[in-house]
Amino acid sequence: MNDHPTAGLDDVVHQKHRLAILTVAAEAKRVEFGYLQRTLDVTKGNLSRHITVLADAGLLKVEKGYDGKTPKTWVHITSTGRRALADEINTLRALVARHDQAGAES
Amino acid sequence: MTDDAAVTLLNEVARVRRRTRRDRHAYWPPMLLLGVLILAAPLVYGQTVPQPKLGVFTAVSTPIWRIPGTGLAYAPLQLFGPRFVLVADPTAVALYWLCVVVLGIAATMVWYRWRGSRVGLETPTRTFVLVGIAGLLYLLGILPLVATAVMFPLFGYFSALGIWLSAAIFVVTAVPSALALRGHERRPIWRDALGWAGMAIALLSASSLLFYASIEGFAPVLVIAVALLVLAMIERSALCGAIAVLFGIGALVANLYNMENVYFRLSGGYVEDPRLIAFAHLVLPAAVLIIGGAVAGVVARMAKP
Repeated sequence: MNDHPTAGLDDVVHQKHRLAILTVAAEAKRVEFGYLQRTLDVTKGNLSRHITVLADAGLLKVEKGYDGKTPKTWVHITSTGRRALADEINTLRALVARHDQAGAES
Repeated sequence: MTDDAAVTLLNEVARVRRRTRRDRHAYWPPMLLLGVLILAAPLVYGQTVPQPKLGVFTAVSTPIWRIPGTGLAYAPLQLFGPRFVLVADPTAVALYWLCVVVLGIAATMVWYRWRGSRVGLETPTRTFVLVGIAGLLYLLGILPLVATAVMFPLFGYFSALGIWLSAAIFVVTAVPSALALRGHERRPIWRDALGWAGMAIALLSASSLLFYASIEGFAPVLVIAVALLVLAMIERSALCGAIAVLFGIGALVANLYNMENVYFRLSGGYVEDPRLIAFAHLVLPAAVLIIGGAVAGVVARMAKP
Protein backbone atom coordinates (compact mmCIF):
# COMPACT_ATOMS: atom_id res chain seq x y z
CA MET A 1 0.00 0.00 0.00
CA ASN A 2 1.30 3.49 -0.91
CA ASP A 3 1.87 6.02 1.86
CA HIS A 4 -0.41 9.06 1.87
CA PRO A 5 1.50 12.05 0.37
CA THR A 6 1.29 13.92 3.71
CA ALA A 7 3.78 11.38 5.09
CA GLY A 8 6.41 13.15 2.94
CA LEU A 9 5.83 16.57 4.52
CA ASP A 10 8.74 17.93 6.55
CA ASP A 11 7.68 19.92 9.65
CA VAL A 12 10.67 22.25 9.34
CA VAL A 13 9.88 23.20 5.75
CA HIS A 14 6.12 22.83 5.88
CA GLN A 15 5.36 26.26 7.27
CA LYS A 16 4.23 29.11 5.05
CA HIS A 17 7.04 31.57 5.87
CA ARG A 18 9.83 29.01 6.01
CA LEU A 19 8.72 27.60 2.67
CA ALA A 20 8.73 31.13 1.24
CA ILE A 21 12.23 31.82 2.67
CA LEU A 22 13.57 28.66 1.00
CA THR A 23 11.79 29.55 -2.26
CA VAL A 24 13.37 33.01 -2.35
CA ALA A 25 16.80 31.66 -1.36
CA ALA A 26 16.62 29.00 -4.08
CA GLU A 27 16.21 31.74 -6.71
CA ALA A 28 19.40 33.62 -5.82
CA LYS A 29 23.02 33.12 -4.86
CA ARG A 30 22.27 34.80 -1.54
CA VAL A 31 19.49 36.96 -0.11
CA GLU A 32 19.68 39.86 2.31
CA PHE A 33 17.60 39.84 5.50
CA GLY A 34 15.88 43.15 4.59
CA TYR A 35 14.71 41.77 1.23
CA LEU A 36 13.20 38.72 2.92
CA GLN A 37 11.45 40.92 5.47
CA ARG A 38 9.92 43.13 2.76
CA THR A 39 8.89 40.17 0.58
CA LEU A 40 7.38 38.10 3.38
CA ASP A 41 5.97 41.08 5.27
CA VAL A 42 7.00 39.75 8.70
CA THR A 43 8.63 41.33 11.76
CA LYS A 44 12.41 41.13 12.27
CA GLY A 45 12.03 38.87 15.30
CA ASN A 46 9.70 36.51 13.49
CA LEU A 47 11.97 36.30 10.45
CA SER A 48 15.02 35.71 12.68
CA ARG A 49 13.29 32.78 14.38
CA HIS A 50 12.35 31.17 11.07
CA ILE A 51 15.88 31.62 9.69
CA THR A 52 17.35 30.10 12.87
CA VAL A 53 15.09 27.04 12.53
CA LEU A 54 16.12 26.56 8.88
CA ALA A 55 19.82 27.17 9.64
CA ASP A 56 19.75 24.71 12.58
CA ALA A 57 18.28 22.09 10.23
CA GLY A 58 21.16 22.70 7.78
CA LEU A 59 18.85 24.06 5.09
CA LEU A 60 20.24 27.60 5.11
CA LYS A 61 23.60 29.20 5.85
CA VAL A 62 23.78 32.63 7.44
CA GLU A 63 26.54 35.16 6.74
CA LYS A 64 26.92 38.38 8.67
CA GLY A 65 28.91 41.28 7.31
CA TYR A 66 28.93 44.99 6.51
CA ASP A 67 27.95 47.04 3.49
CA GLY A 68 30.06 50.13 4.24
CA LYS A 69 29.15 50.79 7.86
CA THR A 70 25.72 49.15 7.65
CA PRO A 71 25.55 45.67 9.18
CA LYS A 72 23.96 43.15 6.81
CA THR A 73 22.81 39.55 7.18
CA TRP A 74 22.77 37.34 4.10
CA VAL A 75 21.36 33.83 3.81
CA HIS A 76 21.98 31.23 1.15
CA ILE A 77 20.36 27.88 0.60
CA THR A 78 22.36 24.66 1.04
CA SER A 79 22.10 21.60 -1.22
CA THR A 80 20.12 19.90 1.58
CA GLY A 81 17.81 22.91 1.58
CA ARG A 82 17.28 22.66 -2.18
CA ARG A 83 16.41 18.96 -1.85
CA ALA A 84 14.04 19.66 1.06
CA LEU A 85 12.29 22.40 -0.94
CA ALA A 86 11.95 20.17 -4.01
CA ASP A 87 10.61 17.30 -1.86
CA GLU A 88 8.07 19.58 -0.18
CA ILE A 89 6.79 20.95 -3.49
CA ASN A 90 6.59 17.45 -4.98
CA THR A 91 4.62 16.28 -1.94
CA LEU A 92 2.21 19.21 -2.20
CA ARG A 93 1.74 18.52 -5.92
CA ALA A 94 1.12 14.84 -5.20
CA LEU A 95 -1.55 15.82 -2.66
CA VAL A 96 -3.30 18.06 -5.15
CA ALA A 97 -3.02 15.42 -7.91
CA ARG A 98 -4.51 12.79 -5.57
CA HIS A 99 -7.38 15.13 -4.78
CA ASP A 100 -7.98 15.84 -8.49
CA GLN A 101 -7.88 12.11 -9.27
CA ALA A 102 -10.38 11.35 -6.48
CA GLY A 103 -12.65 14.12 -7.78
CA ALA A 104 -12.52 12.72 -11.32
CA GLU A 105 -13.35 9.17 -10.15
CA SER A 106 -16.34 10.19 -7.97
CA MET B 1 -3.45 18.75 5.73
CA THR B 2 -6.36 19.67 3.45
CA ASP B 3 -6.03 19.78 -0.32
CA ASP B 4 -7.11 23.43 -0.31
CA ALA B 5 -4.22 24.23 2.02
CA ALA B 6 -1.84 22.44 -0.34
CA VAL B 7 -3.15 24.46 -3.30
CA THR B 8 -2.83 27.68 -1.29
CA LEU B 9 0.77 26.87 -0.33
CA LEU B 10 1.70 25.98 -3.93
CA ASN B 11 0.14 29.24 -5.17
CA GLU B 12 2.06 31.14 -2.51
CA VAL B 13 5.33 29.46 -3.58
CA ALA B 14 4.60 30.37 -7.22
CA ARG B 15 3.81 33.99 -6.28
CA VAL B 16 6.98 34.40 -4.20
CA ARG B 17 9.08 32.80 -6.95
CA ARG B 18 7.63 35.14 -9.60
CA ARG B 19 8.26 38.19 -7.43
CA THR B 20 11.82 37.12 -6.61
CA ARG B 21 12.64 36.54 -10.28
CA ARG B 22 11.12 39.88 -11.21
CA ASP B 23 13.22 41.65 -8.56
CA ARG B 24 16.36 39.73 -9.49
CA HIS B 25 16.24 40.15 -13.29
CA ALA B 26 18.88 42.66 -14.32
CA TYR B 27 20.01 41.57 -17.75
CA TRP B 28 18.83 44.50 -19.82
CA PRO B 29 21.69 46.99 -19.08
CA PRO B 30 24.43 44.47 -20.09
CA MET B 31 22.44 43.74 -23.26
CA LEU B 32 22.23 47.44 -24.12
CA LEU B 33 25.95 47.91 -23.42
CA LEU B 34 26.96 44.95 -25.58
CA GLY B 35 24.56 46.04 -28.34
CA VAL B 36 26.09 49.54 -28.42
CA LEU B 37 29.67 48.17 -28.37
CA ILE B 38 28.85 45.82 -31.27
CA LEU B 39 27.16 48.62 -33.23
CA ALA B 40 30.21 50.85 -32.66
CA ALA B 41 32.65 48.19 -33.91
CA PRO B 42 32.53 49.25 -37.62
CA LEU B 43 34.27 52.51 -36.60
CA VAL B 44 37.57 50.62 -36.15
CA TYR B 45 37.33 49.01 -39.60
CA GLY B 46 39.34 51.80 -41.25
CA GLN B 47 39.86 51.76 -45.01
CA THR B 48 43.18 50.71 -46.55
CA VAL B 49 44.96 53.20 -48.77
CA PRO B 50 45.15 52.53 -51.67
CA GLN B 51 42.14 50.26 -52.13
CA PRO B 52 42.75 46.79 -53.58
CA LYS B 53 41.34 46.02 -57.02
CA LEU B 54 37.87 44.49 -57.14
CA GLY B 55 37.92 40.74 -57.40
CA VAL B 56 41.32 40.42 -55.73
CA PHE B 57 40.89 37.82 -52.99
CA THR B 58 43.14 38.58 -50.05
CA ALA B 59 43.19 37.33 -46.48
CA VAL B 60 44.27 39.87 -43.86
CA SER B 61 46.27 39.10 -40.77
CA THR B 62 46.76 40.06 -37.15
CA PRO B 63 50.26 39.70 -35.55
CA ILE B 64 51.83 36.27 -36.10
CA TRP B 65 54.02 34.47 -33.57
CA ARG B 66 56.40 31.71 -34.58
CA ILE B 67 56.39 28.79 -32.16
CA PRO B 68 60.10 27.97 -31.66
CA GLY B 69 61.20 24.54 -32.84
CA THR B 70 57.90 23.67 -34.52
CA GLY B 71 57.91 25.88 -37.57
CA LEU B 72 54.30 26.76 -36.75
CA ALA B 73 52.98 30.27 -37.29
CA TYR B 74 50.39 31.13 -34.67
CA ALA B 75 48.14 34.21 -34.73
CA PRO B 76 46.51 34.48 -31.27
CA LEU B 77 44.25 37.37 -32.31
CA GLN B 78 43.26 35.72 -35.58
CA LEU B 79 39.70 34.93 -34.47
CA PHE B 80 39.23 38.47 -33.16
CA GLY B 81 40.35 40.17 -36.34
CA PRO B 82 38.81 40.52 -39.82
CA ARG B 83 39.13 37.50 -42.09
CA PHE B 84 38.45 38.77 -45.62
CA VAL B 85 37.57 42.43 -45.13
CA LEU B 86 40.61 44.54 -45.95
CA VAL B 87 41.14 47.10 -43.22
CA ALA B 88 43.94 49.55 -42.48
CA ASP B 89 44.78 48.02 -39.10
CA PRO B 90 43.61 44.41 -38.45
CA THR B 91 45.27 44.47 -35.01
CA ALA B 92 43.18 47.47 -33.94
CA VAL B 93 40.04 45.56 -34.98
CA ALA B 94 41.17 42.46 -33.05
CA LEU B 95 42.03 44.49 -29.93
CA TYR B 96 38.67 46.24 -30.09
CA TRP B 97 36.83 42.89 -30.10
CA LEU B 98 39.06 41.58 -27.33
CA CYS B 99 38.13 44.65 -25.26
CA VAL B 100 34.41 44.19 -26.06
CA VAL B 101 34.44 40.61 -24.73
CA VAL B 102 36.60 41.40 -21.67
CA LEU B 103 34.74 44.62 -20.87
CA GLY B 104 31.37 42.96 -21.51
CA ILE B 105 32.10 40.15 -19.06
CA ALA B 106 33.67 42.44 -16.42
CA ALA B 107 30.95 45.10 -16.66
CA THR B 108 28.20 42.49 -16.44
CA MET B 109 29.78 40.96 -13.32
CA VAL B 110 30.27 44.36 -11.65
CA TRP B 111 26.70 45.42 -12.54
CA TYR B 112 25.16 42.26 -11.08
CA ARG B 113 27.25 42.58 -7.89
CA TRP B 114 26.30 46.22 -7.42
CA ARG B 115 22.63 45.60 -8.09
CA GLY B 116 22.58 42.48 -5.92
CA SER B 117 23.88 44.41 -2.94
CA ARG B 118 21.43 47.27 -3.61
CA VAL B 119 18.31 45.11 -3.99
CA GLY B 120 19.31 42.41 -1.51
CA LEU B 121 19.24 39.56 -4.03
CA GLU B 122 22.46 38.30 -5.57
CA THR B 123 22.43 36.51 -8.93
CA PRO B 124 24.95 33.65 -9.29
CA THR B 125 27.03 35.00 -12.20
CA ARG B 126 29.99 32.64 -11.78
CA THR B 127 28.91 30.32 -14.64
CA PHE B 128 28.44 33.32 -16.97
CA VAL B 129 31.94 34.62 -16.13
CA LEU B 130 33.51 31.16 -16.47
CA VAL B 131 31.87 30.58 -19.87
CA GLY B 132 32.99 34.03 -21.03
CA ILE B 133 36.60 33.45 -19.88
CA ALA B 134 36.62 29.92 -21.36
CA GLY B 135 35.32 31.31 -24.68
CA LEU B 136 37.97 34.03 -24.60
CA LEU B 137 40.81 31.57 -23.91
CA TYR B 138 39.43 29.20 -26.52
CA LEU B 139 39.46 31.92 -29.21
CA LEU B 140 42.89 33.20 -28.13
CA GLY B 141 44.58 29.86 -27.55
CA ILE B 142 43.06 26.59 -28.70
CA LEU B 143 41.28 27.62 -31.90
CA PRO B 144 44.18 29.48 -33.62
CA LEU B 145 46.51 26.60 -32.69
CA VAL B 146 44.09 23.98 -34.07
CA ALA B 147 43.71 26.08 -37.23
CA THR B 148 47.46 26.40 -37.70
CA ALA B 149 48.56 22.93 -36.70
CA VAL B 150 45.71 20.78 -38.03
CA MET B 151 43.27 22.55 -40.35
CA PHE B 152 45.51 24.57 -42.66
CA PRO B 153 47.87 21.64 -43.42
CA LEU B 154 44.89 19.33 -44.04
CA PHE B 155 42.31 21.54 -45.74
CA GLY B 156 43.82 24.98 -46.42
CA TYR B 157 42.06 28.21 -45.36
CA PHE B 158 38.60 27.14 -46.50
CA SER B 159 37.33 23.77 -47.66
CA ALA B 160 33.84 22.33 -48.13
CA LEU B 161 35.37 18.87 -47.61
CA GLY B 162 36.84 20.12 -44.33
CA ILE B 163 33.40 21.23 -43.11
CA TRP B 164 31.68 17.92 -43.93
CA LEU B 165 34.55 15.84 -42.61
CA SER B 166 34.71 17.86 -39.36
CA ALA B 167 30.93 17.55 -38.87
CA ALA B 168 31.04 13.79 -39.51
CA ILE B 169 34.00 13.26 -37.15
CA PHE B 170 32.27 15.36 -34.47
CA VAL B 171 29.07 13.29 -34.60
CA VAL B 172 30.95 9.99 -34.70
CA THR B 173 33.21 10.85 -31.74
CA ALA B 174 31.19 13.15 -29.46
CA VAL B 175 28.15 10.95 -28.83
CA PRO B 176 29.96 7.63 -28.10
CA SER B 177 32.57 9.46 -25.98
CA ALA B 178 29.88 11.17 -23.91
CA LEU B 179 28.16 7.79 -23.44
CA ALA B 180 31.47 6.14 -22.47
CA LEU B 181 32.17 8.80 -19.83
CA ARG B 182 28.61 8.92 -18.52
CA GLY B 183 27.86 8.28 -14.85
CA HIS B 184 29.91 8.43 -11.66
CA GLU B 185 30.64 4.72 -11.22
CA ARG B 186 34.20 3.39 -11.56
CA ARG B 187 35.04 2.59 -15.16
CA PRO B 188 37.77 0.39 -16.65
CA ILE B 189 40.89 2.41 -17.60
CA TRP B 190 40.56 1.54 -21.28
CA ARG B 191 37.04 2.99 -21.33
CA ASP B 192 38.21 6.23 -19.70
CA ALA B 193 41.14 6.46 -22.12
CA LEU B 194 38.94 5.87 -25.17
CA GLY B 195 36.29 8.28 -23.88
CA TRP B 196 38.76 11.14 -23.30
CA ALA B 197 40.58 10.47 -26.58
CA GLY B 198 37.21 10.63 -28.36
CA MET B 199 36.40 13.88 -26.55
CA ALA B 200 39.73 15.39 -27.65
CA ILE B 201 39.00 14.47 -31.29
CA ALA B 202 35.45 15.82 -30.92
CA LEU B 203 36.89 19.11 -29.58
CA LEU B 204 39.29 19.29 -32.54
CA SER B 205 36.49 18.74 -35.04
CA ALA B 206 34.20 21.20 -33.21
CA SER B 207 37.03 23.75 -33.31
CA SER B 208 37.37 23.20 -37.01
CA LEU B 209 33.61 23.72 -37.44
CA LEU B 210 33.70 26.88 -35.33
CA PHE B 211 36.58 28.19 -37.43
CA TYR B 212 34.47 27.75 -40.56
CA ALA B 213 31.35 29.03 -38.77
CA SER B 214 33.13 32.35 -38.18
CA ILE B 215 34.37 32.61 -41.75
CA GLU B 216 33.14 36.21 -42.11
CA GLY B 217 35.34 37.18 -39.15
CA PHE B 218 33.04 37.96 -36.23
CA ALA B 219 33.79 35.05 -33.87
CA PRO B 220 33.69 37.25 -30.72
CA VAL B 221 29.97 37.83 -31.42
CA LEU B 222 29.49 34.05 -31.20
CA VAL B 223 31.21 34.00 -27.78
CA ILE B 224 28.88 36.79 -26.63
CA ALA B 225 25.92 34.75 -27.94
CA VAL B 226 26.94 31.70 -25.89
CA ALA B 227 27.52 33.86 -22.79
CA LEU B 228 24.04 35.43 -23.20
CA LEU B 229 22.42 31.99 -23.49
CA VAL B 230 24.11 31.07 -20.20
CA LEU B 231 22.89 34.35 -18.70
CA ALA B 232 19.32 33.51 -19.79
CA MET B 233 19.60 30.15 -18.00
CA ILE B 234 20.92 31.82 -14.85
CA GLU B 235 18.19 34.46 -14.98
CA ARG B 236 15.51 31.83 -15.67
CA SER B 237 13.83 34.37 -17.91
CA ALA B 238 11.86 33.49 -21.05
CA LEU B 239 12.30 37.01 -22.47
CA CYS B 240 16.07 36.96 -21.85
CA GLY B 241 16.18 33.49 -23.45
CA ALA B 242 14.23 34.67 -26.52
CA ILE B 243 16.54 37.69 -26.97
CA ALA B 244 19.63 35.47 -26.52
CA VAL B 245 18.35 32.97 -29.15
CA LEU B 246 17.54 35.79 -31.63
CA PHE B 247 20.97 37.29 -31.00
CA GLY B 248 22.53 33.84 -31.53
CA ILE B 249 20.78 33.61 -34.93
CA GLY B 250 21.96 37.12 -35.80
CA ALA B 251 25.52 36.21 -34.72
CA LEU B 252 25.48 33.11 -36.92
CA VAL B 253 24.16 35.07 -39.91
CA ALA B 254 26.86 37.73 -39.36
CA ASN B 255 29.53 35.02 -39.33
CA LEU B 256 28.25 32.74 -42.08
CA TYR B 257 26.65 34.96 -44.70
CA ASN B 258 28.36 37.57 -46.81
CA MET B 259 26.06 40.53 -46.14
CA GLU B 260 27.58 42.43 -49.07
CA ASN B 261 25.28 40.24 -51.21
CA VAL B 262 22.25 41.90 -49.60
CA TYR B 263 23.69 45.34 -50.37
CA PHE B 264 24.42 44.25 -53.94
CA ARG B 265 20.85 42.97 -54.43
CA LEU B 266 19.37 46.16 -53.01
CA SER B 267 21.56 48.68 -54.80
CA GLY B 268 23.27 46.79 -57.60
CA GLY B 269 26.63 48.16 -56.46
CA TYR B 270 29.61 46.89 -54.49
CA VAL B 271 30.47 48.03 -50.98
CA GLU B 272 34.07 49.16 -50.80
CA ASP B 273 34.25 50.82 -47.41
CA PRO B 274 35.13 48.15 -44.79
CA ARG B 275 33.16 50.14 -42.19
CA LEU B 276 30.01 49.65 -44.27
CA ILE B 277 30.80 45.95 -44.77
CA ALA B 278 31.25 45.48 -41.00
CA PHE B 279 28.10 47.50 -40.32
CA ALA B 280 26.09 45.32 -42.73
CA HIS B 281 27.23 42.22 -40.82
CA LEU B 282 26.77 43.60 -37.30
CA VAL B 283 23.62 45.68 -37.54
CA LEU B 284 21.30 42.68 -37.07
CA PRO B 285 22.82 41.23 -33.86
CA ALA B 286 23.40 44.73 -32.45
CA ALA B 287 19.80 45.72 -33.17
CA VAL B 288 18.52 42.55 -31.45
CA LEU B 289 20.44 43.45 -28.28
CA ILE B 290 19.58 47.15 -28.30
CA ILE B 291 15.88 46.67 -29.07
CA GLY B 292 15.63 43.54 -26.87
CA GLY B 293 17.43 45.28 -24.00
CA ALA B 294 15.19 48.35 -24.29
CA VAL B 295 12.03 46.19 -24.35
CA ALA B 296 13.27 44.19 -21.34
CA GLY B 297 14.00 47.47 -19.51
CA VAL B 298 10.47 48.76 -20.17
CA VAL B 299 8.97 45.40 -19.09
CA ALA B 300 11.05 45.52 -15.88
CA ARG B 301 9.86 49.06 -15.09
CA MET B 302 6.23 48.19 -15.80
CA ALA B 303 6.42 45.08 -13.59
CA LYS B 304 7.46 47.14 -10.56
CA PRO B 305 4.57 47.53 -8.11
